[in-house]
Amino acid sequence: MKITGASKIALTAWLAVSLAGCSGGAGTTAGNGNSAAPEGESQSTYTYTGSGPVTDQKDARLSILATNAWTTNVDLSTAAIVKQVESNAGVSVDWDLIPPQNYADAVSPRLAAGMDLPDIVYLPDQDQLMKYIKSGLFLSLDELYDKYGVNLKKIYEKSPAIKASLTTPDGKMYYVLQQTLTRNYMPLFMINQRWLSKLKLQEPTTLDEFTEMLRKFKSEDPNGNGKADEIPLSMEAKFVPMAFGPAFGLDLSNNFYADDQGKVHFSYYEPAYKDYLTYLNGLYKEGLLTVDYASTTADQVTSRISQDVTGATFNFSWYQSMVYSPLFADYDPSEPIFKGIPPLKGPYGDAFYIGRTPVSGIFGISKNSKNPELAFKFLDYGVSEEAQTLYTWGIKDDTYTEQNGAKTFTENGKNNEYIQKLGIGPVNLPNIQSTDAADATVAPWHAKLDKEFEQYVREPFPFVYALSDEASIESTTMPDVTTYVQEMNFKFISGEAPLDKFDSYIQTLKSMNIEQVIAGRQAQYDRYMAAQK
Amino acid sequence: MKTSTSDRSFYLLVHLFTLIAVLVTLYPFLYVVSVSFSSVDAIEKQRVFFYPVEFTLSGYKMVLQYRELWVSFYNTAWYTIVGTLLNIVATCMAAFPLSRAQFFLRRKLNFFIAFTMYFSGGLIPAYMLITSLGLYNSRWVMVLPILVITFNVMICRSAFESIPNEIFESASIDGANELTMLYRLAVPIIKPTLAVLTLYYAVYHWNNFFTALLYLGKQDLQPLQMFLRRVLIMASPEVMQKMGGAMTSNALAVSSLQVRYVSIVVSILPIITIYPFIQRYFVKGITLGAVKG
Amino acid sequence: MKHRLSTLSRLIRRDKYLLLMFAPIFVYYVVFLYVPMPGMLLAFRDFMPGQGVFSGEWVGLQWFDQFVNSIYFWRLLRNTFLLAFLPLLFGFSIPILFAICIVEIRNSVFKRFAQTVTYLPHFISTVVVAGMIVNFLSPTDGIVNTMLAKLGMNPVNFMMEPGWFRTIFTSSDIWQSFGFNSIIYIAAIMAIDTEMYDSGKIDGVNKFQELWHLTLPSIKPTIVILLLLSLGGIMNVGFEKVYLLYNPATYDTADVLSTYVYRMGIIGQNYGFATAVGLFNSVVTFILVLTANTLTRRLTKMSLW
Repeated sequence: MKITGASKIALTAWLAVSLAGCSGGAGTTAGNGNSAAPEGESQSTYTYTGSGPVTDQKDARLSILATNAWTTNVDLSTAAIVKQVESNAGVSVDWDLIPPQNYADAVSPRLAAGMDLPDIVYLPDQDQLMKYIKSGLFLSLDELYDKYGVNLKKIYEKSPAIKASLTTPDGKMYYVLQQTLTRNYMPLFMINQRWLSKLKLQEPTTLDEFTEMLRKFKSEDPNGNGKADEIPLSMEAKFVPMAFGPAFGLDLSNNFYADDQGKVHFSYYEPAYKDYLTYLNGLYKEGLLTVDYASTTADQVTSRISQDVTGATFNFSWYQSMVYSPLFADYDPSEPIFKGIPPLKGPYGDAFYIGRTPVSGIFGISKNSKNPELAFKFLDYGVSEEAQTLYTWGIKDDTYTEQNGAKTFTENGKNNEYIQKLGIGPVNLPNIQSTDAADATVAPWHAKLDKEFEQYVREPFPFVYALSDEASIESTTMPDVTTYVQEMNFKFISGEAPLDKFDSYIQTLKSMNIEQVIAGRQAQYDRYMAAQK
Repeated sequence: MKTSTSDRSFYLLVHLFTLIAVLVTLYPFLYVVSVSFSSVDAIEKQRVFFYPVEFTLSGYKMVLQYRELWVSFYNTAWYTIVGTLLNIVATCMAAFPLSRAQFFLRRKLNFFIAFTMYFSGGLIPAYMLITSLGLYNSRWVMVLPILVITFNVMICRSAFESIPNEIFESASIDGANELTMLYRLAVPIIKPTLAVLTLYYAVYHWNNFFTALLYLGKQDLQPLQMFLRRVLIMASPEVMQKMGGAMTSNALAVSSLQVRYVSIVVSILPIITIYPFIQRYFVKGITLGAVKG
Repeated sequence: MKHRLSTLSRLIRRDKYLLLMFAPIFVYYVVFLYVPMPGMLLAFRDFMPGQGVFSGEWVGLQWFDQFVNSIYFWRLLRNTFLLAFLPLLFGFSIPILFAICIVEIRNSVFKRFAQTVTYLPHFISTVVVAGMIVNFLSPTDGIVNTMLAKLGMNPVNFMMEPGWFRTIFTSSDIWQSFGFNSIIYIAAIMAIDTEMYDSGKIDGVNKFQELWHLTLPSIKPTIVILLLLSLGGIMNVGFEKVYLLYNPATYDTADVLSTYVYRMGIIGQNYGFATAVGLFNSVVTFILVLTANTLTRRLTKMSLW
């Protein structure tokens, strides 16, 4: 079979050649937008001051891979705000924008293949395990930061914690961040005010008062239709730990937390967790926690509120004024129907809501970029106050007006469709979510409430890069640990597993090596604290 | 003609079984259509069961106004038509040689293609290959990498094998070569199978979104399924938080159950109208017969 | 040697049109399916993004080790197998039965209607089907439980009982696919030579006998081939559907290989691990199909290759 043999050889040769060409993505040229960009930006004598333009090159171009808008029908590559940022910066951008729902799925393989990457890439995750950093796909930014990071320096000065988060253990920086709100409009308990007033109840302040309220909701017909159809508490399955954990001093949604002494704990491994389980088991037995609590969907919650059969829920703060209250036909925007309450005090006196880490997304400059300085300057301009104003408020005199330093939205600015099309709060740029704009959008009572509640929000475990050993111990241990924890959580709460089995549950976790993982997290936390000094 | 009792009971069973099957499959679809024509309020209050409550076209108006919908419709139509055409031609070209008993590479090539049904290199090498072939952001990426589906090639091969050899023998005596045999004789004979395979391929292309997700960044090239997913999976709390509160009520309106179901109906309509046309090809012919070992 | 060579060139000349026909497809398979195959090696490496398929240090069987030593290994295997096998077991016969029924229906309006309606579910996307299931089965306000209550029974918490998961999954799978899958059987039955039926009628054969002795044997080849081909999907339980329907309460019966790997991925994309699991899957499936195929070849002289 000589010919087949020969074709086999040809095959293998081709295989080797094509794969050699494929591997080591450095062989291929970077993005398609760079052809016009002349080399040697550093030869220019232009000084970048932090506000636009960032360069004096005539035809500066950059290619950027990022997410498109979440709203259907909006294309950020042509949105007015984005274009304005580009023209202020003096850079023309070739956008490769992917729908955000699919971003991680679409871009992770692309980064894994490492070929043909544009100048700037918005990462599909936050690279906590430093995979991308270690693979050398992105440039380290320290030099560029020292030379050109005018605006970034301002931000880091104000919040050294952020700088600490983004610095690797060996002291380098690789990414420019997108920031989100950390203490405002966080998830909280919301209660139907009408039910409270119908039953002449006060807003509960402690866990026990809350339970009592739920009991009354169930038995005293607050929706007044003569049927015992009330479902006192209704929330999406995943919010349950976030809702009740804090009452016991636990952050169950982020798994790990650090106490006031700087010691790191795994929430599901704490003695307080047993009290949490006992409490929820109690609710379950009494029928105050519905039988399907672990499979409730967001749609079901909305539907129940709409039918006025549920009185308490837990969700992101937006919902109270933007979704739930308006579900009632007679909603008066000055009077909340579903209103948030301060956190419930638990048995040890804990009462807080959980906030978020500031970093919501990161941009990296790919190693293939022909113009890293231009790219960095563009990103730095992207976090400048000038740019931020554009992101948050839009175009001056079109969507907002400014008088004596105070900004107000115009009619256009209040028209949601209009500002969406403009590209408000663009997710393809390093925007920083601001409370001002949020306050201006929601009902006044809501904005006021939010400021009151800021004091109750506690910082979660910070974002810190993991070292190789820490990373590998976590990736080999945590999948099984999480599966076990989730399963047992349900079994304890539903009563399937009696609570006296809790000790053997702890023993099992110990044998799964959880303490090593905690130690790794402790090391991360210590580094984080040290880096802020 | 008199039907015996046993025959009558046969027909009774047949009709009963079919009726049950129809009811069971009809109801959910009826529900989807009803919801798509009902008001958002009625849907949230769970008042919709068999027919639209508070009939409204608002969902349809909203969805049909999206330029994206029409563009993606066009794209999907392009991918489906071009893709299926290429598929059928390529499948026949692959299956026919494999069906000829005396073809000397038959066994080996059969194994060669069967092997790929179970083993593949995985996502990353495929991605690297597609990119280095320059197919990223190109229409052809929806068509070329899936030139044939081995499963279908085997079905086609089966069909060819059941054609009595005498037909080909007499053709070859008349001087025909295999190309003519394929084109003039074999293909017309297995029309029913080809009709089924056309349907299979068309449905595959119609539903394919993963390829687009990975390789089609450009909005203008995206197929219908991508648009659908954007509408279906839009409103989750994290998303809303990320977008900022202003989005929330609008997002909820856009991705309410009503709109989601409207999108379903809109996307199914074209493909289900194909079936009646396919059906006429199921005429009597040669059996989908034996595969010689 | 010379003899071999001349035989070979004779064969090539004889079959040249067949070779020509197959050639483009051959190129397709090589380029798109075989060239990426060395990617399977990722299962033995610690992949580094952007460095190519042969990058990362060699870790040998480390991922397989991690996978096999997980306390959930057997459970995942069992669930994956069952959730793929049960629909096959129960769902394989239904399309055939339905095809037989459709063919026998005389009223063409009813016939067309039945066909169109029953293959609709295939087109409703998984996301929607899952949403409907959760809705209908809700113990507090779902239709099924409301009806049970009317009949005086207690509500059943379907979505959270591991015991119900397999039934729910399998039935919804069958519901979604039987209509569409029956199409090929309908085509096969309608292609049967009517002469056989006519002579059967003359012999006084009744409908049941006709079905058993004439129709079914005639479509046996189709059935066998489709059965063998379906076995190929035995370890590929659709990730999305399980993911949308499961929750920690039902992990015991619902957690499958693909959902487990997905949760692993959230912790840190490990392509090496994912490839290893995929490879494991492929090998198991392949051995299964190989066995089934050999058995089939011995018993019926039919085979996939």
